[in-house]
Amino acid sequence: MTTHSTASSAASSFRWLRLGAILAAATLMFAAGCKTEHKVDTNSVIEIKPIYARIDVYLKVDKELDSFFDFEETIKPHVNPDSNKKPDAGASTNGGAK
Amino acid sequence: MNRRLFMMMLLAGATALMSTTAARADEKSDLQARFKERFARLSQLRGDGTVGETWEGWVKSLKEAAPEIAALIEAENTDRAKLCAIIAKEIGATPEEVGRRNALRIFRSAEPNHYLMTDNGKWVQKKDLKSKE
Repeated sequence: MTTHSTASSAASSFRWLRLGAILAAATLMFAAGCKTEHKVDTNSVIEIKPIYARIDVYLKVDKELDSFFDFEETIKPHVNPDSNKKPDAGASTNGGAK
Repeated sequence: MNRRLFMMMLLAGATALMSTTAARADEKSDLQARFKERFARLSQLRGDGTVGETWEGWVKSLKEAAPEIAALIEAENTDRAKLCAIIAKEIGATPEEVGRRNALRIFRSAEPNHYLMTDNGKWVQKKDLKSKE
């Protein structure tokens, strides 16, 4: 009687254990299926640096050009404001220019 | 002996650097003198609509240019190219970038009746130009 009862109890606990394992596996699979991913794109940080570098270069170029051509301010000729002559229609845009 | 050799190499390097800098300064000074010489005539031609300025930093004629004007344009553009190359080398930019910055400088200082060529390749008087700045 005692032996039968012990065997029955062991079988019952094994069933519960199996059920628990199945439930745990199902929960894990469900959780994995519902998982969301968040990726933060940091590429813009990398691209900002060259832009700043270019601005810095442009500022230096502007300063150099302003200093080189500062004579233009002193010898600026008189400008006739009525001189609004239009160029010929279909005129050539060549003339040694690059 | 090694120390003497090192000092000699250092001295040679410094001399080379100084002579390069001096040569560049001389070249810039010569260029500036030539720009100054042409400036008044070029301003006159800009004012009467014979020549205009492009967004890339070149001076161009708007109509068939007389030989004297064509030669002036050629000389001006040649010197601008030289200047752009010098400044580009000094600062670490490209000559094209320096040219475009120079064009911006010229566009800013242009008179309302001056002709400017924008990046769409069309001539427009400054007074009709819608600035993006």
